[in-house]
Amino acid sequence: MAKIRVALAEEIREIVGQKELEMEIENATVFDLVESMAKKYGERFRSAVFDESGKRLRMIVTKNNQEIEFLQGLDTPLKDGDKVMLLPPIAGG
Amino acid sequence: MPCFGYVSRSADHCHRTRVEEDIYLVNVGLQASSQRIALVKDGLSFSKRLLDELSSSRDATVQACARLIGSGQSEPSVEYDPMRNPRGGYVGKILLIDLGAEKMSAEDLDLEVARKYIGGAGYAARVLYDSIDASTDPLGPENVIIFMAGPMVGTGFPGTTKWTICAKSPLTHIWGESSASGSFGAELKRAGFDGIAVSGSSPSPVMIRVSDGDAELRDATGFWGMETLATAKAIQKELDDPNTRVACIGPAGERLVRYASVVTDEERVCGRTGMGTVMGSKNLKAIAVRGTEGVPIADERTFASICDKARRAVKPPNAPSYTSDRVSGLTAHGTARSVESLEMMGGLPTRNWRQGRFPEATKITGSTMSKTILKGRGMCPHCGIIACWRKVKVEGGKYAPVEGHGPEYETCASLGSLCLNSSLESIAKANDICNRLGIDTISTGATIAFAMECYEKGILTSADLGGIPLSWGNDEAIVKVVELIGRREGVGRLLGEGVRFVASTMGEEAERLAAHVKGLEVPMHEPRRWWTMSLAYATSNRGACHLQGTPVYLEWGLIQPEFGYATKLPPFKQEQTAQATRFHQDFSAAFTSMGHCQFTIGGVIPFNMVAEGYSSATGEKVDHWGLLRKGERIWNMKRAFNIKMGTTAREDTLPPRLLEEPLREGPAADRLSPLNSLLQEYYAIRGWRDGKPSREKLLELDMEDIAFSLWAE
Repeated sequence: MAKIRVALAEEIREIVGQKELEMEIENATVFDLVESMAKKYGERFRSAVFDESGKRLRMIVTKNNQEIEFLQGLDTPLKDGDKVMLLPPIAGG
Repeated sequence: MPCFGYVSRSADHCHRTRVEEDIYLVNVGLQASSQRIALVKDGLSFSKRLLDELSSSRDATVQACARLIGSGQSEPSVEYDPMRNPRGGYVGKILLIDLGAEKMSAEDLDLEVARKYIGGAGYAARVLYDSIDASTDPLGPENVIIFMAGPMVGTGFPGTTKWTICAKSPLTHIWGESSASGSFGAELKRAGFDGIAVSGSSPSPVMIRVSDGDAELRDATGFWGMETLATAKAIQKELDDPNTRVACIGPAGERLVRYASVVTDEERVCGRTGMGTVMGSKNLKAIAVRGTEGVPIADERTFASICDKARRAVKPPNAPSYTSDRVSGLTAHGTARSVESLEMMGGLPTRNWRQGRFPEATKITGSTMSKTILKGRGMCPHCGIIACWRKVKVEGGKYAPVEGHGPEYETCASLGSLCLNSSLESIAKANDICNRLGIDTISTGATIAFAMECYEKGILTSADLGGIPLSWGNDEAIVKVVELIGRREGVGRLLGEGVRFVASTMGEEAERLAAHVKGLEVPMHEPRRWWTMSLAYATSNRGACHLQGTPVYLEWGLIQPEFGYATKLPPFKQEQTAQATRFHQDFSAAFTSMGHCQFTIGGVIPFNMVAEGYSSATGEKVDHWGLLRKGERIWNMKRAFNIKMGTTAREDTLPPRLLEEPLREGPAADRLSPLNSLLQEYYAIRGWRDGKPSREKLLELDMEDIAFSLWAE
């Protein structure tokens, strides 16, 4: 089982109740990680993270400080020790 | 009745067709005609009669009319009254005031300048280029300060609330410009003017009152010394009209703090570049505007339909999630929402730019504000989309009472993380002081952070600071120093000069710590993390500026497929950075001159829809590429202004820390922006030679007069 460190910001942090946590998953991609968190933390988490299609993410997601759009997207593989961040879109200035 | 439209061409062609030329001639001729007054009074139904009367003339206008009518090239779908409103959107008048001579006059808006430079800051840039030169003292009577509202302001198109103030900046000695939202701009137009240009200086404090086409100078001695919001209330009471909109300065502007702001009765702020200082130098305390006229619209039916379409486009199910999430996030938690995300991405300016991460960022973020001191939300008139206003109240604790507009992202960072301050209540207090005394929160926070590092390193001592222990994170000291800056007392006398001047009095080590470009303190987007902002800061016409071009939006995913930016820009990649920065600068120059708020533009309302709105409001048909072209012209106009003030490519750079010292953690760790090569690419893309717009580029942009002026031998 891979242990993935997850860091959360703003409303997603409030839904989960923690800023940082560790998730254990097997043979995972980013999609698998987020999906397992959605099962654990419920519909509020799911609708905060996935858009209406249920397949695309609303959030900025990074793996080891790289945004997943520039890796393999939701199919980006994860291994033991990776750090994933889930952040709401940046707006304002 | 014959109807005339203005046919646009693509961005690649700035010349007019024969039809466009004829339409233009008709408009100019009708304007000059002595029949004008009759038309203004009698309205549209007399247009045909006028043309019949003119048909017997040998005037070139009539010949142009005959060609149009005979050729059937007029556009029946676009209808407007060419006499009263040669274009919709504009009201057609500029108020000129010489405070020294106590003279006022109303002049016609220069239609050719408006066609080329849109309005707002674009129009002001062209006017100020002729009025000001390198020897003009920004605090002298020769400086001209212009208050402008662009053609979309007051039309009702969603998000068109931005009005602007322009002058030679007393902080930077180059292009000064600052915008605010709220009702003031629309009210100015309802009062009968697209803008007010003020020269000279009054021997005693005055205010300008504008009301339905009339204007007067009034004694403002009784308001001198008052804080901004108190001034606005007092003026509304004196005029016996709570609906009068007021823009005024506080003690900071009166005492010539170099980054004094202008604040409205709605607590909206023209913060940057010291426009309040220029007002103070002229003894101009306030401008009060009240109007009852509507802003004309060329094609009201089409315009209303486009406005409705724009409102629906930003909400589910029509909006992509990156649009609707941005909108809902701003509504829920304001601009400060992004403090935490930016920190976790390693890009929150911290400890005078020594760090990009601030472990206590959660304490000063938007959602924390929502749970603690937030008491309400609000929006600008005609926004209808975002509602980003924060209304806060601090009722207990050492910073009470505070009640008013809450801190934005820039303030939470500049008076927060940049100073290692995690006390949200102190930031709210400091923000409140800045607004009431009238100083820019970004320059204030940046100058205090600089002073903190100087104190740490012994360059500034406790005695220099009047006994204030200005150590990192000392929130009480921050609040105290903000007050002193705003009142220009104690150490505020020095710090109120801005970071460039303060550092210059302290030696080379201090100058290396001062974060500014061309004298304007760097705003709160980390250029080592976002390379587009490194180039934007280095080349922006105001100095380090995050608004006149915010290309980082493209790195954040606020994509603009209508301009070919269909995917997010990858970070830390040199390719595309220069072109993206150039694009966003031209784009920003266009929409800010029109009067749009950036939160409704750029990944929110598609710009091709905005162009439809502009076309139906003004009667000038132009697509989004055509508007971008005008924005490019405006950008080059402001650059030409700066060159006239003495700016060279040498000043297109970053402060030493941001140029030479990489961050130590986060995605940007051990990386630096390749600024020099980005600049070379940028100049080439812009058609500039050694940082100066080439003669060929200026001619291509239909700026022959500027080409002649800049390249005269």
